[in-house]
Amino acid sequence: MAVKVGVDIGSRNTKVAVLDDEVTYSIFDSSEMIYSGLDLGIPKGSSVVTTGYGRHRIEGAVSIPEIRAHTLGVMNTLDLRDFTLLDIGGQDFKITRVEKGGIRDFNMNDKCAAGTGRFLEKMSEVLSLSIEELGGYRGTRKVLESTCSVFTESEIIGMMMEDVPREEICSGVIFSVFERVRPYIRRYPLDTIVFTGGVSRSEGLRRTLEDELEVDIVVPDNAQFMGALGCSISRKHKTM
Amino acid sequence: MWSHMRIGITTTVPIEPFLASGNEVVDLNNLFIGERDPSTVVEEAQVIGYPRNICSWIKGLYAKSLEMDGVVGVVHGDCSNTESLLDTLRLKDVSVHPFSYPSGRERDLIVGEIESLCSYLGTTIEDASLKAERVEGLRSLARKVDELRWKKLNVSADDAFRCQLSTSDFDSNPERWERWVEGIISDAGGRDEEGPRLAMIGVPPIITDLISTVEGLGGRLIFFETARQFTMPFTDGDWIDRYLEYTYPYSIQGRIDDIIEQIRMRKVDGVIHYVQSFCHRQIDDIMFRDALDLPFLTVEGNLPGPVDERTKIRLEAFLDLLEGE
Repeated sequence: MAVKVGVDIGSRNTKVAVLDDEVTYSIFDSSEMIYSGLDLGIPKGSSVVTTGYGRHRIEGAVSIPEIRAHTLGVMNTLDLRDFTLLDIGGQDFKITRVEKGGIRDFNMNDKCAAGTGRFLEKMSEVLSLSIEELGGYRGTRKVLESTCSVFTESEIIGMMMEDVPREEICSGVIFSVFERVRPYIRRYPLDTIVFTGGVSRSEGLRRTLEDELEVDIVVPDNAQFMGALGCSISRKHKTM
Repeated sequence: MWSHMRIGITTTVPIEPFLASGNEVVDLNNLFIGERDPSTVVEEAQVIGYPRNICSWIKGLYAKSLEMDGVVGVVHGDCSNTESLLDTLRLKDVSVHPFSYPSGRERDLIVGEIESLCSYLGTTIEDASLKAERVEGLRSLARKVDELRWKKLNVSADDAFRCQLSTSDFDSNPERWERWVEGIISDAGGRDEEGPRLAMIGVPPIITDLISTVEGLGGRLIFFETARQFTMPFTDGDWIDRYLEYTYPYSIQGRIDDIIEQIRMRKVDGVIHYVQSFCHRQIDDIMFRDALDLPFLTVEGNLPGPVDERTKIRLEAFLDLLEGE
């Protein structure tokens, strides 16, 4: 039986799940993977299923849509059948409503990447903090008015010039991410929210979601790898 | 005063007066989107001051209107920006004529509008009536193509869409249009196609390859709500009544009733609602989602051009949802 491999080629990172006796995960920079031909460590003779922006880049692999991949990964990890899946990645966020174990509806950000990982990365640079440090802040109230990442940067610089405390600005950045995703989440029943993707590592955003929506937020282990895991267990693998 | 002039229209209007007057009717939307690079046309309107965050269709219409001898703009029942479009055209000394679909759907009012249109074009409603049979004959060809599509998938989705959509102006040449559509009908035949049966509702997409992309991903588009309405698929009453039955310019409920009837009859599995960025009709999405009990995807387009990667990912996910893993 061939080893099953799932590869999620996102806008920022490429995540790999190799399903042998157990699952092993690895992560690579997507740009490096494309321009430097990075070896993803896929065992020879493996069956590969891909998802994400670069899903067509691996020759001979079968691709599946991201919504399917992430939902499969989550349902394999958690014992849940009714939940809203919030995945925030490098340039997009996806909200998927799962009921009775089936995908009922989904939504994605469109036309604008505010409120995604790249947004947090950019704001942490402006604030001279690591993304981990910024992600630790809890959003408590609206501080920033702009809805555009570039204008938010200008707004933050203006606040820095006026000596607004950095803590307050950081809290405002996290709150603005929460405000961006809130209307999408509120379309569905507020039972359980599963939070995945690279941005789920932000403890501050997780707490903001929990406090503001008064709902259980579940961040699974290896939350950044749910898409890759979903690919590795997909039925689309070639049977050999 | 008019004859053998090129008159642009901003959406479907009664076409019988144009044929009676001998003027050429040009659907500005089709002229705009048929450009080699429609984005540059949008920029022309922005150069004179059209805001960036206004629908790209209206900007395309503005630029193409400047090539016309006159423009008939629908100021009630289509796009709330058309009134301002006509004002900016007046600034450029373009002859314009506003046309309104009466919100009360009263016959007297639409007759008044058609008489006024006839007068602008240099003809009469009596002469326009003489063209009604010819127009109905042409539209019935487009409806035949629609039927060939949804009943047996005997024509491509692209052909079905284009035939219905172009009944607004018959590509400015009814005889040539008729030969083209008759060719599609005579070439129709069995197609080995499977996949979820889809409806596309909403305004015509500015995304140039949306239909072929959906088909390429395995979806089968068998109902084009607005394009079908352009063919005036109604049999009661005379030619004037057709413009009262026409759902698109009137209440949202009329559109919903029509869509529900068609998706049941055509056994549709899922609905794609195309919306245009910055268009007031984006709000209609709320009513459609509430009324249509089917998997539903909203696709938004802004500038003319091919499907972007993000939209493609959404379409793939939607079709996957319909098919299951």
